[in-house]
Amino acid sequence: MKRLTNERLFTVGRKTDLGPGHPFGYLNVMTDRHRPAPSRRGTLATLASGCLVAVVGLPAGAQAQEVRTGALDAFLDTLLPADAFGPAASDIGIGQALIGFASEETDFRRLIALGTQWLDALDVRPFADLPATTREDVLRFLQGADIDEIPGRFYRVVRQAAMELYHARADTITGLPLKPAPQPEGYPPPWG
Amino acid sequence: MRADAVIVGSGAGGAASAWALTRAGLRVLVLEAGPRFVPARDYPLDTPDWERRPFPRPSGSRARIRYGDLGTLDPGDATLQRWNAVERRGRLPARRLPGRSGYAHVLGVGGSTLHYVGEAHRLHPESFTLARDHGTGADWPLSYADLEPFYAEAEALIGVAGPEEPGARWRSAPYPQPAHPLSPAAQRLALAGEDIGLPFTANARAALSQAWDDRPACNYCGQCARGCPIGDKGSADVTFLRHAEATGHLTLIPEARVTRIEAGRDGHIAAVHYRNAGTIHRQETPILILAAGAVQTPRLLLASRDAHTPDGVANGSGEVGRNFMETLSWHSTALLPGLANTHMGLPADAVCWSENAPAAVPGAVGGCRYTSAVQEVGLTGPAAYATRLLPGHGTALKARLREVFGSAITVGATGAVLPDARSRITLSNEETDTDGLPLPVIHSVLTDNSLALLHHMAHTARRLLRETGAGEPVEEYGSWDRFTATHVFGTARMGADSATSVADAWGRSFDHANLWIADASVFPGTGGGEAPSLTIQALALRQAARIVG
Repeated sequence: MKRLTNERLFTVGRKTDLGPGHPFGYLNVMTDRHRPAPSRRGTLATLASGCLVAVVGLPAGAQAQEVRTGALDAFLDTLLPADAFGPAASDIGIGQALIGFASEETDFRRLIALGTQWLDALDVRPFADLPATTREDVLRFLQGADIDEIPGRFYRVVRQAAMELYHARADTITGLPLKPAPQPEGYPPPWG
Repeated sequence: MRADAVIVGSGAGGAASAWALTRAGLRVLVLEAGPRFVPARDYPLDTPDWERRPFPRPSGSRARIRYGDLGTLDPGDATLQRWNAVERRGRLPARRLPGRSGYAHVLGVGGSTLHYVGEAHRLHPESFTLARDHGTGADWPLSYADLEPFYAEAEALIGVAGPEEPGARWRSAPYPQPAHPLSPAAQRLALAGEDIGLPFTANARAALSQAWDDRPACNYCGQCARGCPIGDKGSADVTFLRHAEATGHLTLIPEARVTRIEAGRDGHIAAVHYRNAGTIHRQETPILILAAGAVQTPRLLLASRDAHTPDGVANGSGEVGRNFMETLSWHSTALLPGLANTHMGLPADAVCWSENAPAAVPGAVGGCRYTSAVQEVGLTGPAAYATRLLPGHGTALKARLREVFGSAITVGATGAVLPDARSRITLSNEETDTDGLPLPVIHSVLTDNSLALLHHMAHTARRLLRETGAGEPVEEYGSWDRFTATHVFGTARMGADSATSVADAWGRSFDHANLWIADASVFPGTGGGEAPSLTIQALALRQAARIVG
């Protein structure tokens, strides 16, 4: 397998041997076998704030596989790195929390498993060992990826869940005009 | 037990009925399908994970609903498709689908008032004569003047806070509480509205602006829809039901699911059958009041057919389940640089009534109204911003969140729906609940009038946002591609003619002299986007006055 470069990352989807329309078509998880069947696409979860997604709608043929925790943590830390405003996602156990939630949601666990496998298969090096700038490029690509493909859906669903879990911690709201919780004090006026 | 009256449901209508009847000395039994909520336990807004906690859904607190015909989607209307800056626009389905919350309701002591924002609106006086004045819809068999004293009575018990100016809704007395101060978003929206002839005023709110009746004043946490843990919100449990229970005449049984209404040979309702704690009970009653909402009330009536009532109870007109009306809604959100702390304040604290009269919107009948809705749509915490408004990741995302948090401004629009033959409640032929009752099926199709009104609402919401100086919208959603309705109406409507209506002007069944209906099923029209709870309560109080003579 070739080493992943930025150039490869953004040109690979146009290579005819990788399958038309597949941004990372050389990966097994992106073959037609793993595409959500058209009839399942309508079941895609409505991602809205307030609760974790309950329905992912993976293809029936997809196999549950082991979650690559290193890739998951690296993905989450690229989403939510440590900085002056708060800790990195992995520092506060967001990956473990996601896996814990996924243990109750079979489809969600399969999505995480397939997504992290996909991340680790991008290069001979595990995703966690890729340079930070390359990991960011991957996430930038995923942001625009097809929601009906595993990588795009993985990005969208895991990002949603991670944002909710991360901001449920009091140590992540530094720099925001927020109290740790709306009650018991509320926000009485003045509000200027 | 012996009861002078049995009430099915303890939401806005059932609670108001219970209070009025127990106050008059009647022994009242309320059968509530859902559980009793404990605010301090069930609405924990004092922990850092509050944003992950929507209104709770304990076992038995939501009914199973099925959806039938919700209409098709014309790509020509795609400017009404839901989207946001993070999720972007998805593929357009061919048909309108139920939203995540669908028919948003609560089974529980207090009903859907437990999760309502708490707008306490009176209907526009002209909404009562839609058919007479505009040749469409149906007229109410009563007028605003008939209802006004009961509006005032309900407002007094709840402790509604509202503005001094009555606008189109004349009042016999001022609001019992002064209006709430306008939040930062509402103030900005009011300025913008003034500039383009759409003035905003303080909204009438069932939330205390001053401590009263052993309830504290609102502390403006902005989370009314997640459940109010301190009790300032005037949900039915802390207002009507609390006072009804204090009379000593009320017996309220939670988790009591009515399975059948038993009509006698003489046309009277003889009894209701309900399941509680695994046992079926038969409760005789001289007076039965149905207050289970515009989905469950017709379901129960239709499902209770027998030899005496082959088409269902109270269905001599054939109108039970028909005339279902949802509520049109639209929300546009933008970020306004320089605006701060829009997560603070009372949700829906400002309202614009300029287009609320039935003829106020050119090209559509029924009217609509606009509110400052940023808290109502849940843009009050960092997770909401990060998952809906701010795409991207990494340190740039975290910095951007700090830059813009508190600057979201939302215009919410709510509009009228007219009855249509395709929109109705039916019973499922395939599925029953655990008690063997067929599930209700909601059919609700947007008419040409609804589409015209919805386009107008979206256009005006965007115009208002532009006028504030905000950037392009970052999130929009509404009724077009998803059926999501908190307020539903019309499925056992009242009217002057027994051939076309289920109940008379008092909410009394034309077919059964001791059967009364006290929920939004009886509404012949939706009004022009007003929240219905206060009207449901006023109708229930008026009905109770009739019952007790």
